[in-house]
Amino acid sequence: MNLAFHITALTAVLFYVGATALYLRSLWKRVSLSPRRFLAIGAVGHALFIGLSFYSGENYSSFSYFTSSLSLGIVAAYLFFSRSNRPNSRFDSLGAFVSPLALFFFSISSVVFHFSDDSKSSWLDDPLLVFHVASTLIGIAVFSIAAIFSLALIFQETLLKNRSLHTLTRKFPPISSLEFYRERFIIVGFLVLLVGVSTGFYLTSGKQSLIELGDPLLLASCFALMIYAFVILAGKLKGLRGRRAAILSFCGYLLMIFSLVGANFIENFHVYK
Amino acid sequence: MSTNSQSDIEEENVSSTLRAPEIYLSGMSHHTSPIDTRERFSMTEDRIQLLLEELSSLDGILEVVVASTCNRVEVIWSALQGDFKTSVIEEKISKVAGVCHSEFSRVGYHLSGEVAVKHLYRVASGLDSMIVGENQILGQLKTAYSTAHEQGFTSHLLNRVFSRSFNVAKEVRTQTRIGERSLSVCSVARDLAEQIMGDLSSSTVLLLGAGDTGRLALKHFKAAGVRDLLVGNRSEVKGRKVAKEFGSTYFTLAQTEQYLSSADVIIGSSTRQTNQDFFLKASQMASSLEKRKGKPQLCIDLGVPRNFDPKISDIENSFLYNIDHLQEVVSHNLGARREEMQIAEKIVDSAVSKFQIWRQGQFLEPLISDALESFDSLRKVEIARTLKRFRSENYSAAQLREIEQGFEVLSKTLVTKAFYRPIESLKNDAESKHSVFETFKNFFTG
Repeated sequence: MNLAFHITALTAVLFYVGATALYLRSLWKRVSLSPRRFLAIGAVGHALFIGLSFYSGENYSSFSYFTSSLSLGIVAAYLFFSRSNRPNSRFDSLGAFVSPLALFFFSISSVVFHFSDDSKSSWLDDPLLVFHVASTLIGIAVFSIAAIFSLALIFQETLLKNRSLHTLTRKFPPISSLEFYRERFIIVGFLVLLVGVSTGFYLTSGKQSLIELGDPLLLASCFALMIYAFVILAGKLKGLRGRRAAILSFCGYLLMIFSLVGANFIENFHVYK
Repeated sequence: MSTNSQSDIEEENVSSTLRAPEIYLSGMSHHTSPIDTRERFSMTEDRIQLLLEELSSLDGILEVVVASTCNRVEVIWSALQGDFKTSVIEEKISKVAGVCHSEFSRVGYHLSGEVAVKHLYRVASGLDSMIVGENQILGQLKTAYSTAHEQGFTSHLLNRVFSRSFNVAKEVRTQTRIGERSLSVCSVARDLAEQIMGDLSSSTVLLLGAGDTGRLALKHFKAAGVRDLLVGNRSEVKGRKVAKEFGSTYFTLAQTEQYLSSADVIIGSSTRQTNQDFFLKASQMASSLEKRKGKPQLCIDLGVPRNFDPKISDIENSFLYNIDHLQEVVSHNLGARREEMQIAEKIVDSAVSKFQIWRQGQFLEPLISDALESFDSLRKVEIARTLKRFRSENYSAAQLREIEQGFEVLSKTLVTKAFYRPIESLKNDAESKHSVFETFKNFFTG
């Protein structure tokens, strides 16, 4: 079991690194190997790793599971999206953002992959808690994809505005497509995360101490959601789009990542630490 | 018939069986002739048909294909080696084109063998084109080949070289980025619009100034699938004429602001006096973008003096490109295409080598089949002789049939097995150009 555990983890990391290198190289040069395939193999290794670690009998911290699953969720969401948009191969270039981000979350999950005293079964027994965790995870994964679209949009817009029309502009999707998907992913992410946050509030309604006003996680999450709500509303009502909307969306995402990662490195701030 | 003449005939027969058909190419292109000469030699379908018939009726010519485009007229044919009749080919081309023979001699070229194959591969890949990497030539070559092939003017050699040239062209296109970059200002403008709007079929293009440049730009956008075109011009007659030509709506320049917000791409190609105001001001653009709720607009300024206010580029969600910016992209693309050419040339070279190897194998085919036929007849004679002996003894008809079948199987297996290695060795050695001694050694050792 221990050997399989290490092999799957190593497979996931190696293939994610390989996919990152290939995606980045493909932005400038034609590559014979498919980076998408590398990413998919990495995701399979990653899924096996999570499955094995879950059933290994050891209790790892729920935060490790969360970040590791988020990393896999981002890759899965991207692979699903790029597959359904296969004729437009320009979406493949976004893998250059997806694979490093997945690696980032996977690394975080490994760095803080420590044993926990919490009983795994305790949170699995509560279906509402499972629903809360799952919807939060899916929401953040969708926001991650939206952030990648925002980043690509800023990048593409800067190149076109400055008339730097080299290979990269041809590699990335058109601004209108980036804008369209950024907007859609943010709306979906917002709705899913809202469900996750609402169930979280409901779950902690009897434990007032956990939702103190000074909780950085809570504040950052609320700010992030407010930014996203503003971006959605201003986009619909006032036509906020393009660079400014993309920057705001990305800021919202950074805040959300802080609430997820940064706040969890500070002791005793959230229940899943 | 004297002995001498008999041996001469035999010698000639032997040499003609050893001579294999070779590929030849005669023609003229934009590299060797000016446009007025190419115009005179340019061929319509009827003339191509006539030339195909004239050339195929010539002694020694086995196959022929005629390709005529605006940049080249080329005849590709095959004939037995040594029957190279360039002057006859020149005469026929000149006669069909109705031009003096000496003119072709002045600008034409004749290639044969490996050089001809390489030239054909380069032409099919767009490497020999005026605009390097363009793929129109591939379609034209395919048409030329299918015209000749359907009428039986081609056989295995030209079929092979043409099919390989189409594969090489495909390989060049997929393995390099030679055809990806636009090399004209208008196509760069269209690429830019696609970079911002994506699919242009649902976009609206507004043109200010219906001159030749503006019309050319509209042509590019129409070809990209744009359905909604708006044409604004100072002269109503000319403006309406161009609008009608492209199935678009005409408006006067005074109405520009009214139509501005509905346009995704705005092209300026009008003539402006230097003391005159810009046709499109930054304030107009800002209000247009406000009406569009931030939906991006691309402004292409093809006019000199400039038609659009340069401050437009400072406005969010607006993209402004003038003629210099577009020209810069064209130059950059041209440089990039040249870099890709080096990779493409390597692909062509490798394909030519492979074709030559195949050709050398083709030389051996008749020799091998002759040798096998000769051994087979020997085998049959020996079986008949042996069976004769068996028939003189008291064997029944059924027994004799069984013996004969046994001999047939045994002798065939022996011949096949005995010749398998020498044949393979011959084929391999033809590719590696071994000495006779090495080839003979390989017959038995592999």
